[in-house]
Amino acid sequence: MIPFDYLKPATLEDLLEGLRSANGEGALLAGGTDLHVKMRLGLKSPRLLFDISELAAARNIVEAEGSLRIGACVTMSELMASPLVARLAPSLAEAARSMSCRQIRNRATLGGNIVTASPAADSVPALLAADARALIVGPGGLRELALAELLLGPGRTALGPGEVLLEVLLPLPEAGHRSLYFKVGRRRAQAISVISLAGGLSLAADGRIGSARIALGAVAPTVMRARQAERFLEGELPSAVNLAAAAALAGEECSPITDVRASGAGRRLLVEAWTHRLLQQLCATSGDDAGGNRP
Amino acid sequence: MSTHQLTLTVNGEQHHLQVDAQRSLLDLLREELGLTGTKKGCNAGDCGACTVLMDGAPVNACLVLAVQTGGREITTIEGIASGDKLHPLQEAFIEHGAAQCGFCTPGVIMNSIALLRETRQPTRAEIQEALSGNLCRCTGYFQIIDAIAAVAASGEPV
Repeated sequence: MIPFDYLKPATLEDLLEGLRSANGEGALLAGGTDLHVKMRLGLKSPRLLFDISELAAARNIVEAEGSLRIGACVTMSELMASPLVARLAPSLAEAARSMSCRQIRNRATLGGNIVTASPAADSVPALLAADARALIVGPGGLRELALAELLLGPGRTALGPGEVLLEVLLPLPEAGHRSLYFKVGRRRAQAISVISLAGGLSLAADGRIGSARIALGAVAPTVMRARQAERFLEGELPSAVNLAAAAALAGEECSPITDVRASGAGRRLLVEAWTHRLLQQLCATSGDDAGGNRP
Repeated sequence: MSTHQLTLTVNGEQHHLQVDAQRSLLDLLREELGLTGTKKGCNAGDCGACTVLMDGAPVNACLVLAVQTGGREITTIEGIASGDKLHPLQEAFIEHGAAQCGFCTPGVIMNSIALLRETRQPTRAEIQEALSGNLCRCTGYFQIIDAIAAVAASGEPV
C-alpha cells in the first residue's frame, strides 16, 4: 500500500479547507470497509486521508422540515437501531439489515454505500424508492441534488472536486404509504446482491393505486427506477392482471449484464418475479407492518 | 507518511504508542503489542478472523486504522479469561469440540460475546445470522453454534 497521511478534521470548515489544499489528492475515510480494501489492492492510492467517521455534521438522524435527514456517516448498525428510521423509512432499515455482516455494518456508512456508486449498493434502492435527495457541501457552499442525479454510473458520481456528501434527505411518507425491500443474493448473508429491489405504494380511498415507486438494484449501470411499471400502475386497480403486467414491464425496462453472480437473462427473470412479489405484498400489507422480509 | 501519537486501552491496559498512518488495528495488535490471538485471515473484511470488540461492538480489526482507535477500548481474545479461569464461551468451545484448526475461533468467540450481551437468549437462527461474517475453514459450524447455544442456555454472564 502506498504511504499516505492521515488527518481528522474537527469541523466541516476544516475538512473543506483541507480538501482544497489537497488539490484532488485527498480521499474521505468514513467506515473504511471499501476504501481499505481498494487501497490494499492498489485500486486507490490517495496521498491524504480525511477521517470523517466522527464528523458531527454528518452523524445525525433527525426529522426536520418535512424530511427524515440522515447524516452520511451514520453506520448501517445505527440505521437498524434507529426508531426514526424504523418508523419513517422501514425499507431502508431492512436494506441496512440485509447488508454484509455485523462487523461490517458496525463500520460501513450510508454515505459510503452511496458514493461508492456500486449498481448493487444495498441501501440505494430503498433511498431511490423514497425519492431521496443528497445534501452536498463543497467549495461553492451547500447544494441539493436528487439522489438519482448524483449516481452517474459504476463508481461514478456527480460530486465535484472538494465536494462531500453530507446528508441524505428522505421526504416523509404520506399516511398509509407502504414500503418494502428485498435482496436476492447467492446466500442470505454477506453476499453482493444478484438483484435487489425496493418499492413504495399508496392506495387511494377508492382502492386504486395512488402512487407507485419501484427501484431496482444490480440490473443497470446505476440503481434505477422502473418508471414504465410505475406509470402503468398509477390510477389502476391492484388486480392480479395489472400487477403481473407491471412486473413484466419492470423486467423489460432494466438492462442487466452477465457477471460472476448471474446471467443477464436470469437477472431479468428475477426482476419480473420479484417485482411481482413486491407488488403483491405492497398491495396486501397494511402500512403498519410494512418493512419487508428477506427472501 | 504521517505518524501519530495514540492512547488506547487494550484488554483494560492503557497504551501510549506512536503509529504510522497506514498501520491497521490488526497489525498494531499483533506486531506491536504481541497479541497474536487475533488472527489475520483475508485482511479484507471477508473472513472475520480478526474480529475484536471496539467499545463493545464487534469490528474487523483489518479494516480499522490504528490511528482511528485513540481513546477507544479494544478487547481481544487475550482479554476475556479471568486469570486461569477461561471465559464461559472458551469452556463451551472445548466442551463441544467447536475448535478444530482454531484459526477462526478467536474471531467467532469475540463476535459471540457481543451477540450474547445484546441478545441473552438468541435463537439458533439468530446465532447463525450473527456469525455470517465469520468463516470457519474447517466448516465446523454445528459445533460452534452448539457451544454458543449452550452458553446462552446456561444463563452465565458473558
